[in-house]
Amino acid sequence: MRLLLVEDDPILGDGVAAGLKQAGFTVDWTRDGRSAQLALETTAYELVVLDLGLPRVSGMDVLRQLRARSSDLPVLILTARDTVDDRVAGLEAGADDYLVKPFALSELVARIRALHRRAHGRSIDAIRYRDMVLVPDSLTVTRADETITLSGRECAILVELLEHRGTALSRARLEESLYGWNEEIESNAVEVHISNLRKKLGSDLIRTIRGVGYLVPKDAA
Amino acid sequence: MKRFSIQRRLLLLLIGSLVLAWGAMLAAGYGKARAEIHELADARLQQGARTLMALDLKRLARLAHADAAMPIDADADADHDGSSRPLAFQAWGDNGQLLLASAGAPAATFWPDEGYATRTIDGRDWRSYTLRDRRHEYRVSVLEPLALREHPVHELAWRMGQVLLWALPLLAALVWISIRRGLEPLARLSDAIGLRDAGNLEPIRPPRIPAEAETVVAALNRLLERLAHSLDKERAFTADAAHELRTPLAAIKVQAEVALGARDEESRRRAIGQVIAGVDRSTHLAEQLLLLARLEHADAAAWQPVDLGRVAADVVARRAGEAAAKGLDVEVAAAPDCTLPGDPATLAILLDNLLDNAIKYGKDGGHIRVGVRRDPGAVSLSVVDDGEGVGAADRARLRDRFFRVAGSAAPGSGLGLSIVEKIAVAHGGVVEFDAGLEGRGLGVSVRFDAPQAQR
Repeated sequence: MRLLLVEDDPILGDGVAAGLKQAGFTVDWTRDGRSAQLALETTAYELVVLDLGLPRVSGMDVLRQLRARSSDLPVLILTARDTVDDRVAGLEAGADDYLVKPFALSELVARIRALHRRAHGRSIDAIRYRDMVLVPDSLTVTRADETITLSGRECAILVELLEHRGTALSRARLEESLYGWNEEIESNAVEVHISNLRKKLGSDLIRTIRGVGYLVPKDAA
Repeated sequence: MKRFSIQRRLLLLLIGSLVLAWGAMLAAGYGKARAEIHELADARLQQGARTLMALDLKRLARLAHADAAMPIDADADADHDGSSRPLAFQAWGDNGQLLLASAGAPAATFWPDEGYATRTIDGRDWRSYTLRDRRHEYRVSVLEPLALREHPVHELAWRMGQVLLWALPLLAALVWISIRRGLEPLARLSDAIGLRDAGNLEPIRPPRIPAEAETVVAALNRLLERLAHSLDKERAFTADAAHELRTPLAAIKVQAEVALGARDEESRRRAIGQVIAGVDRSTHLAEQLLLLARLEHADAAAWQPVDLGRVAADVVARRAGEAAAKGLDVEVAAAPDCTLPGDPATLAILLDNLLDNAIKYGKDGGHIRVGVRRDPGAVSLSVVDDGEGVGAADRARLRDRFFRVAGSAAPGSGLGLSIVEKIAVAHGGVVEFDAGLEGRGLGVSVRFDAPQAQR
């Protein structure tokens, strides 16, 4: 899952980016409002973590502009301003959640996951597909009392495919969800992860559509 | 502790004045009544003497014997008035021989003078009136014990006193109730103020203000207004300070969590390095906030003559290495005799903050000019650079606490120029911002009033 972090404070931004990467997210970090607007226009993110006190263009303006484009991208605001008025202003401008500094990284991760689940219409953090249950938090798939452990990237690819089941996702699209701006993409990484997933979960789960990409078919049930 | 109470004061003053006035009235009334009673009794004595004089000695003797049945008793209760009582009298021959005396008459000696006299006979005071009959060569003295007269006088005084004894407590009660009722608007006002909660700094607007309390209420409202204003400023500052304090704390916390969750040594070391950087930043911020707080109570008593040129040289010397590392050329131009009374430590902080900014926002190969100049009656200090500079619109806000120019790449708390402003103002100086060298960068000048004679 790829998300955009907008935070001008160098140490905090660095820490949040590192922490979110540890939690298995793909993170792009921008330090000001204008770069955030640019990134939002050019890259498909699944969530934005937004600081309000930003140089050049304020976080609130970034948020308003995003909503003005009728984007329903989940936005979590990070701010040091904790008065009720501040929260109300943030939520009314179209934020989905609000976290006051200082916060625990684990809470930020949990809230991001919750927002993401809600955006996909789920209320518990597990994805069911046929006879298996994928729990991204623990990187596990449970199937008939058997628990299979996945790597972070395998899990990310599977989540991506399961969330867009019925749609073929290109290799580039899957790579985008795996790597941030500054990370080097290994040339055949996606193929390797797909092949590993097939080994662990059975070869019939992910289908290859030649020339297009990979697909998890819609659940017949 | 005894409280000062207007009500008690008024009560004591009013009742005291009343008692005093009544006492004076009573005394005057008593004196007048007494004089009148004496006058009346004297007139009766004189009249009695003239009546007796109209009789001859034989008749007088008969009258004297008839009186024997009714002795005069000054202490008798039966008749306080005494006007109906027969008078005691003596008849004396001109040669001093007692011719006769009425039964109640005292054993008075011969009295040669005619008219009124007050005499002490056998230990009692008597009033007498003596009249001489020239034809018959004898005289008649009519006598009356003085105690008999004093009795109605005392009686009168006692009655007046009794009235007062009843009236005074009643009057005190009435005065007390009046004062309470009179001061009720004040009590209502104090209730209205007392029942407010601490956060309510709205002006006091009771439906009716007594004229006497108007000035107090107006003064109170002005105070409330000033208080609300400074409270607003404090609130804004607290909100800003909260933001500025929380961000580095959040950074430290997040970096520490990253270090805890790091799977490899390198990212763990990196995160811990960031924790330390975050703590350094928080420390710097805390120091600046403390400095600002301390400057609130700057003490001019400890001032001494400070040579601003020397301060500039010292500060620049300390920062020289840092500036050189950024490829900046720093130059000091200090005129001699630029001395002003002040605190050398805070003036050095002022200069250091300005220089720190100039270095922070300077470009590689740029220039910084530090100048100290003497003008008539003033000493001026300037730090001018050709770095990033500040737009004219932002210059006005530079001295606001926590204000940072949007997009500033260099780290900072936004307090440096607030501190500069505060130190300058404490020394009676004025800070001005302008464009820097050759229209680029930023130029800051501080002008202090300092007479030339100050050395």
